[in-house]
Amino acid sequence: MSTVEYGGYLPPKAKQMEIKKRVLSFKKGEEELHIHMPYPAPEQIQQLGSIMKTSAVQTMDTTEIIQAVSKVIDLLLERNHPVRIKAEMLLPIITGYDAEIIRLGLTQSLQTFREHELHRWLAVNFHSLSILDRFEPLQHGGYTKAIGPQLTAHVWAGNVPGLPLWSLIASLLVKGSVIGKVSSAEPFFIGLFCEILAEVEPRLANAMAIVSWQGGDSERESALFTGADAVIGYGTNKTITMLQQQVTPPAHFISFGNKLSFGLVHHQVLDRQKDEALAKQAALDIIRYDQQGCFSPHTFFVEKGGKTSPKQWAALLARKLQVYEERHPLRKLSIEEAGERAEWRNKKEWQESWQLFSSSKGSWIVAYGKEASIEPSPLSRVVHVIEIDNWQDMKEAVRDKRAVVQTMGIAAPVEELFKISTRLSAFGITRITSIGRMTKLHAGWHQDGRSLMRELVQLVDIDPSAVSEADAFNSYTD
Amino acid sequence: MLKEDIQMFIERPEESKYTFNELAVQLFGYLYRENEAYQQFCRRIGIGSRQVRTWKDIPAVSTDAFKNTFLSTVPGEDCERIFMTSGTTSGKQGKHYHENLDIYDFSARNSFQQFVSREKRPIAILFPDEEEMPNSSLAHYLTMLREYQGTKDSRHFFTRGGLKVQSFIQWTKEYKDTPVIVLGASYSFVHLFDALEEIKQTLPLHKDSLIFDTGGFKNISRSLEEEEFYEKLEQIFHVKRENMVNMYGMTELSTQYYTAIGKGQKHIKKNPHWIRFKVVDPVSGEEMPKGEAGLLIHVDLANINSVPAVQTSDLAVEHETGFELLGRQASAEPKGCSLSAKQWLEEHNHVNG
Repeated sequence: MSTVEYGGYLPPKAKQMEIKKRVLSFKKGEEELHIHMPYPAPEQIQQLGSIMKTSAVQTMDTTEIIQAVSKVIDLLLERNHPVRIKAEMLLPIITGYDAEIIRLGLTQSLQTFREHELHRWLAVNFHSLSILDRFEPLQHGGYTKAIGPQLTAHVWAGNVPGLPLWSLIASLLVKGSVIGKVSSAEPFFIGLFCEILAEVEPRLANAMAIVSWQGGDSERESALFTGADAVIGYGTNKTITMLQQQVTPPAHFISFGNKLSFGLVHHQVLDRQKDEALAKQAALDIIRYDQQGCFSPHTFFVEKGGKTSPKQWAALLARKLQVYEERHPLRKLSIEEAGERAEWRNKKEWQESWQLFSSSKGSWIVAYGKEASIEPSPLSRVVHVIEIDNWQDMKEAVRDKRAVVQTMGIAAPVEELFKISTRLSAFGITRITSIGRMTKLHAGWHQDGRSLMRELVQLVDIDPSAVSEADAFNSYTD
Repeated sequence: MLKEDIQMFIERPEESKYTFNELAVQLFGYLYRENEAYQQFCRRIGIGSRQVRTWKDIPAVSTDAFKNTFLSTVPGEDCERIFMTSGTTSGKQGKHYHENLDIYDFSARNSFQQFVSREKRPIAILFPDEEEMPNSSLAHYLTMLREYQGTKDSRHFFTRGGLKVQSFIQWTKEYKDTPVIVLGASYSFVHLFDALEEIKQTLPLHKDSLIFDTGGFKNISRSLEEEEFYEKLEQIFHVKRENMVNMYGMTELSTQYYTAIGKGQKHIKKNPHWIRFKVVDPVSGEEMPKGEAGLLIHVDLANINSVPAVQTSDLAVEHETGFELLGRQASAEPKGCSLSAKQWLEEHNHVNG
C-alpha cells in the first residue's frame, strides 16, 4: 500500500510565497509512505524569518500559551483523536519502530507537556510564572523580566518521535517564533503538532514553520541562521561543529550532542525477589526506541556480592530481551547499521574477555565481561553487562567520558543512591533515574545539565534605585 | 592427504573422489583440530566439529581477527610467507600465514588459466614485484603469473620510484603486433592515464591482447567510475571490453574471483569451483535471498593453513553466476541522539590525527 501525506507546517503569512515541496519516502514491509515537506529556497527562508520575527505570540500571556499547548497535548493523548490515530499509523512506517513502542512512547512523551507539568517546567527555571509577562519583584528589591528571543532556529536530528517538542515548546513558552528544520529520519510528528496548535490558538499560527532539506545544506542553513536570535542544534559532534560555524553573533548557539548513558545495579538489590523485575525494567529501557535516545543505556554495571551473580543477571536480562523479541520486534535496520552491528559482534567474538548471549535471530545481544570500562554499543538492542566489585570501580570507566555521558540508571538502596550520585555527578553525569525510567523524561529535566529555557532568555532588571527615585516624580508625591 | 585431495579437486574436479561440500567439511575438521585459535573461536560461539554438516555451516572468521589473532596450523617461524593487508582503514595490518605457497600458487594459476588465459604471452605488470613487496599477496600473485604464464619478454614496470612510463611505452611499441597481457592494480592504470594525458599519447596493442586490473583505487589514485575507467582503457590500448578482466582477491583468501568486463553489463564476480560464497543478513547471519544485499562470506578450499571461511565487510548481492559487489559497507548515520560505537571511534581517531 502506498500513501501520500503532506507534512511540515507553514504560517498563513507565508501563503503567497509558493514554497516548493520535497518528498521523503519511507517503507516498512509492504507499506510505502511519501511525505511532501515544505522545501523553501534560501531567500524564502530569510523572508520567512523576517515575517515571523514579529508575531502575536509576543503579546500573549504565558498562561495563555500554556493553555494552548496543553490543550493540544490533551487532544493528542486522546487515543481516538483522528490526528493521534494518524500518528500511530504513520510513525511506525517512518521510523521502523514497533507500533506498540511508538504508542507507549507518544503517550509518555506527551504527558510531560500537560498543563501542570508545563507550570512545573517554568517553575524550575524562573522564580515567578509571570516573569515573561511583566516585571516581577525580586526579594532583595528591584524587578526583573525575562525576554525571550524573537525568533529561534531549530535543527533537529534523529528518529525518536516527540523529541523536537522539547525545544519547540520551550521556545514558544518564552514567546519566540520557531523555524524548525526536521530530521529526514522522522520529519512528521512535529508538523502535525504545529498544525493543531495553530487551530487551537490562531495567535500562534504565524509563530511556527516546520521545513525540511537535506542536512548539511549550508546555503539553506546559513539563511535560516541569519535572522535568528538563537539557534538550537542537535546531532553528532560533526553536525554540531558544522552548524556552529554558520552561526554568527549576536545569534546565540545552543547545542545538544549525542550522548551515552548507562546503568548500575547495586549488589544489595540482587536477590531472587527483585532481580527478575529489575532485568525486565532494564530490558524495557533497551527496547524503547532501540537505544537510539541519548538517555538509552549502553552498559549495565552490576556489582558482585548479591544473591544473584552479575553473570546470572546478564542471563536474566537476555531472557527478558528474548521475551520482547516477538512482542516488540527490533526495527528493521539499514544494511549499514546491521553491518556495523555485525562488525562489532565479530570483534567481540574474538575477545576472550567477553561472553555473548544472543537471540538466534540476532535481534539482541548481551555482552558480558569483567573489564570496568564503558564503551558505546553499536545500538539496536546491543548492551554490555559488566561485573564490578564495587560501584567505585565505575569511576575509572567514566573518567575520560565526561563530555559524552548523560543519564545513569541506578538500582540501589536510597542511602547508597545519594552516595553514588554525589560521587558520580563529578564525572559529567547529569541525570540519575531508576532503571526502567532512563528512557522516560520528566518535565523540567535539565538536558545535559543545562536549562534550555534559561539559556534562551535575557533577564532585564529594574534596579531598586530606579523605582525609589521614580517615586519622587509622581504627581501625587508631596 | 587432504592437501592432495584438494589439489586434485582444483585441477580435475570431475575425477575427484569428493565434492566441494565434502572437502570443505573435511578442511573445517582439519583446521578445527590444528588451528588452536580457530577452534577456540568456534567453541566460544557454540560450534563443535560435529555441528558442521555443509560448507554453509562453517564458522567464518572476520578479516578483523586476522589483525589481532595468530591464525595458523604451524608456528609462525615455520611459515614460508606471511601476506599482510595494507591496513588502510584501521592502521593495523591483518596477517595471513602460509606454511608454504604450493596450494596458493596452484590455485592462482588454475583460476588464471580458467578465467584469463591459458597461453603463455609477453606480460607487462604495472605493480611492484615480490622482492620489493614481500608481504603483498598481489605482488606475489603477479610475479608468479609472470613466471608461469609469461614469456621471457615479460617485465615489471612499477617500482618504489613509481610507474616507469617511458619503458612501458617502449615495451608496448615493441610488442604492438603480438597479443600481450597487461596486468596491474587499478590505481596503477590511473597513474598511467594521467601520465599519457600529459604527453597526449595512446598505446595501441594487438587486438587480441588482454587487460587485467584488480584492487580498486584505495585512495592511492583518484577514483574513477567503473564505466569511465574501462572506457579509458579501451581508448588507450585499443582493446575491446571482452578482452578485459577484473580480479577480486583478498589477503585473507588463497583464491581469486574474476569478472569479465562487458559493456553495459553488471559486473558479476565469478568463482573458480574450489571457492564458494554466501551473502548473509548481518543481523541474523541467515543467508539472504538471491538479489538482496548482505555481507559476503567466502569458503575457500585453498586456505589450508589458516581458516576455511572468511567473513568480509563487503556488501554484495548474489546472482545466478556469481556475486555483484556493492562496495565496502558505508558508515551508518546515527538515527537518534545516542552515541554509537562507530561514531565514537571515528571521532576519536579524528582527534588523534
